[in-house]
Amino acid sequence: MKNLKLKLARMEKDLSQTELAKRVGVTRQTIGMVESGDYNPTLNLCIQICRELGKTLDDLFWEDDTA
Amino acid sequence: MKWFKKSSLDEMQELRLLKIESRGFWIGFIGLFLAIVVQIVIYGTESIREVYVGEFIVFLCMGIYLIVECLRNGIWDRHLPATPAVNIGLSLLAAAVTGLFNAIVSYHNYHDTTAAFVIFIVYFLMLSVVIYVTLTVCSALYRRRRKYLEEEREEDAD
Repeated sequence: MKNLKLKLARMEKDLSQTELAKRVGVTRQTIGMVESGDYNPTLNLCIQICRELGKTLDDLFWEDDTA
Repeated sequence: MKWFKKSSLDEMQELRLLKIESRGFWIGFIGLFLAIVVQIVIYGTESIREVYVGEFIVFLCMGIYLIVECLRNGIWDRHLPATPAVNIGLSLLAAAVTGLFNAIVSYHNYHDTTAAFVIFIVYFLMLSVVIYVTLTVCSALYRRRRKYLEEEREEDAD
């Protein structure tokens, strides 16, 4: 399932996938795959992404049942 | 040696590389097995020293490594449980396949049906026992190791 919350949060911060990837220390490909739902990141990477985007884990990675 | 230990791959790439390496291992393992089988069919079992001893040793080392590491980590199989019934079934199946293979090789070389049948029976009986005993010992070691690891984890949590 696509992670649109992550994509929106990244765009709100005006960051490209490459810039976010550089900040959290992974490749652009990894960020692209997290956003497209093709890769489940480790908790460490989730936390790093949240810190960079100023969001909580719930904001970016929690999926509501009703959604 | 620090540069060697530090990976330049991120977690997703590491995971991909592990999958690629795992596939490579299994391609090598199955490839070696098939190469040995084909060479036994072509050259027979007498020429083991001259023809396929290298492949056999590498294949054996790969198998032993897999078994030892799995037991050490308390891992048995993805699908099959370590029960006596499964062990009996597996040993009968493996013994039947190996017995049949050797009977076919014998018939291919000597064209003697009785000898091929005797070879099948001897291999089947011997290997059924040997494989069952090996599986029973391994599953007992697995259960012991798993119990130890589970208790260790619980103590860590306390």
